[in-house]
Amino acid sequence: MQLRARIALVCLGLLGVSPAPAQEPPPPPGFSGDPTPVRSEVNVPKGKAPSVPDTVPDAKPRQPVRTGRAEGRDARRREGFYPRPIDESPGSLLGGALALGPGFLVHGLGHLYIGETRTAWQLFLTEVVGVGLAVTGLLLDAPSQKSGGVGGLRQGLLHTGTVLFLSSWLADVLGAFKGAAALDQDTSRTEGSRLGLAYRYTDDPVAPFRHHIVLRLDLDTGWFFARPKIDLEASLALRQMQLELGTRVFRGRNAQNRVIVGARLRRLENSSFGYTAMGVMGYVDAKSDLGQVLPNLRNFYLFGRIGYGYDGLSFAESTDSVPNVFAEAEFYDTYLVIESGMGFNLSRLTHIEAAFVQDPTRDIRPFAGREGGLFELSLTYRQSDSLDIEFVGTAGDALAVWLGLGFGL
Amino acid sequence: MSGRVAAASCRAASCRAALRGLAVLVLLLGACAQPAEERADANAAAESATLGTRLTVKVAGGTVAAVTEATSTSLAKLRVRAQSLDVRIDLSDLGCAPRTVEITVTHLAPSGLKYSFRPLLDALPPEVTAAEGALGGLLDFRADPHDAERTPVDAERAFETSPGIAPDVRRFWVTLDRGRRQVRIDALPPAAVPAEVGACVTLDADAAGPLGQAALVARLRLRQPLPAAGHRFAVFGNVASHLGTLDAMMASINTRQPAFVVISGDLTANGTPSEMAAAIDRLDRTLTMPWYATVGDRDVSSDLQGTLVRYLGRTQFVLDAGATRVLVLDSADASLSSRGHSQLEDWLADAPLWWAGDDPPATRVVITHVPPFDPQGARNLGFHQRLEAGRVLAALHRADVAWLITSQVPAFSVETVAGVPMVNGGGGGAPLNDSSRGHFWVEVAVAGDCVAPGDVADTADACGGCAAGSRCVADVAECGPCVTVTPIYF
Repeated sequence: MQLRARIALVCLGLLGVSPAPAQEPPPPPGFSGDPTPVRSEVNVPKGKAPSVPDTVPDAKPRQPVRTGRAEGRDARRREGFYPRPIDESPGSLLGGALALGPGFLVHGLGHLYIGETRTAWQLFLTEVVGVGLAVTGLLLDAPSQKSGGVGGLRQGLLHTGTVLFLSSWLADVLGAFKGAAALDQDTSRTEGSRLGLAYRYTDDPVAPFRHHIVLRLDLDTGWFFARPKIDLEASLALRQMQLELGTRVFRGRNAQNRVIVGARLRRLENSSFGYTAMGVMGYVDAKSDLGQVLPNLRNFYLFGRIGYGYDGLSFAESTDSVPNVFAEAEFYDTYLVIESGMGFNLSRLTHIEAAFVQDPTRDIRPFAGREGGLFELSLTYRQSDSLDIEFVGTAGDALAVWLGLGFGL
Repeated sequence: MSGRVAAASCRAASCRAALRGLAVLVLLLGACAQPAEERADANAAAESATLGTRLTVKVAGGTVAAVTEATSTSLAKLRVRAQSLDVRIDLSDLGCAPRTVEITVTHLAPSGLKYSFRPLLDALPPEVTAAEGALGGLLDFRADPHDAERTPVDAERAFETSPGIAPDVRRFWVTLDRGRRQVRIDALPPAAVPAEVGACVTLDADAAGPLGQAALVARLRLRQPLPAAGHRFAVFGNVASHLGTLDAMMASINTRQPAFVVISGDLTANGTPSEMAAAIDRLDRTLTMPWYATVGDRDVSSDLQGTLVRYLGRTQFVLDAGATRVLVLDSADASLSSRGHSQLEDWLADAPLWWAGDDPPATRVVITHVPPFDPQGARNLGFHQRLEAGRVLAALHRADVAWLITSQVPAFSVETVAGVPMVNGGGGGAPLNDSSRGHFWVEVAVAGDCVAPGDVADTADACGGCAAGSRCVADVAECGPCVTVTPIYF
């Protein structure tokens, strides 16, 4: 009976429907009486007693008589489910649909529907800022009729504007569907060392490289990290080595919010085409919990990275060979890397991220068109304290799939 | 190289298909459109066509622009757009009755052309095949130096054409009579030729043997010989639908009379059909020499891009002009297609342009819209992916390309990129980075006394012998480049 009731409540909650009040005992002060199950924003490990979240001022029922229904409610709370506080909105299927459809043009419609007016305005404002940045980027090119020398600035504005636009739209859709309930917190590892092993498949019509093995090491002390990585194509025709060094200058080991300043040193050896590229890129990387600004979107994260790189290229006399490490570079190239995206936990242990990546040094060909770029979807499942399972799909004019394991050391 | 890579790749087709499917499925992006590959396919398709039952055509140095198949009341018609100074057309007939094809070739030089044809059978005599097999290929018995797999029926002969509707257009009629093994070319529409009685029975019989059953091929060639003392050609790009500037530029080009013009992309501002048609109309009406064009990023920004071959001909092509091989690459998507890379590598390796036999030119000039690397990398006006840009630059570097001429950057400048002199030459009409000197086109001068790769260095000349790809400048007694580039402001 308890199980059936819980399933029914979850279903109703997903649909944004409140059961008749008569079916549930009178709510305690401070609660709306809507029994929509809301997961605590604090992750409670299985088997441990749940802690009472900040959003629940008084979780104890006042009914002196223990009815079967009250026992069911207690059981739900013991497992981490609490009634929604009275000042927070339930999710709504229609609200989500509004956000998904017409809300693509006017962001915040979904939140307006569920009664989160303030958040709706914030989302709309974000949309306006995003569109403004993108339009400014496009207008920069107008005097030169798309031939000018404002590529970097234009790219940065367009990228940021587009990501803000898409983020505010997705935030509206997600927030309207799920209501005020917080998502699970990102608990990705930020300390300790990890050994990663991955298989990577790339399918690019202009490159003969398909199967890669990637070996990487994350040496992480919380504030500082070093990440060596080797990516070898199956025939060893393409060998990519890199070392990332960085420091978390903000909040140290916090997995939810970060600012990183780092450098990436890399060497690419391409014997199929007979050349090497070796260089360094400095970058700033940031991640932030959107819930700090939009309470409905706790644990919905935005992240981004901007970097500027410098590579030297050396060429071999023939294909099937590459110049040695000490060969003098015959050409120097600079490049800009901009990537940003959004992420959240699908469940307590599963984190998903979607990103738009403009990194010309990737071995996957970006989309054709003036801007170029890749879409990347990554999924990380923390199978245990010492094992992560990773999947990354990347799409441009080429496709790539990464299947990896991360072992905690 | 590719074999080694292929050997290391997953051989199981199902494995690869599954991975590809997984990627597509999970990313929810479906099949990605790859415009560069689509244009490459269209380019390949424009090399050949079917003119009727068992009657086909293949074109090199030009594009099959239009085809009308024969009906019971009308002849087959073929229109070819020239994209070189040496247009080659193979008509291959496996029918038994005589057939006539009306051929129109556009964008040819107004004068000085040479026309020739040769009938061939698309097979070798059995005795030649047998003798070669017996001697293990030590001796070559084959008669045609240009095509080892075919048997010439007659010597190469000249033919006449009739003028077309414009000075750059020629028209002629080719009659193939497989029963009689005859090819005839007329400058006027010929009278119908009756079929040889019983030809079909004879030709299709086993007793006819490989030669009897072989297709009759009419190999046509329309050439514009260049002066031995050298020649010049013009390159411009980045017009972006500035038709007034285009008019002024064409007047300047007509004044200097280069042998031909190569447009390096961005004829239009937004790639719309009306913009493209307007620009082409002006070029056809005004220029007094042949012009050939590739596309730039602006030209592929609309739905037009699937039909660009119809407007401009193949968007990636090559031509040998005197001592220089001119490679024109389609980089409009800030990348090349996979076929584009293969062609580039073949052409740089001195592969013959269809018919073998001619010596490869001494120097190479590569013309494209988007440079592999933007001189100001972070500006992002080069290829989007550095891996691919590195591949192209490595190929140009190793082939010792004389010039790489681009038009993405609206300024004239010359930079050396990994030893390859690169010209930024986007002065055709779009606003310039520095407008103080005005718009410009690029004149490429090719010397006539260039040392070819197979030549023995003449140590007796003033320079004491120059290397292949260079020439002796007697005035200063120094070896100089075969090809020089000059901006012409107008």
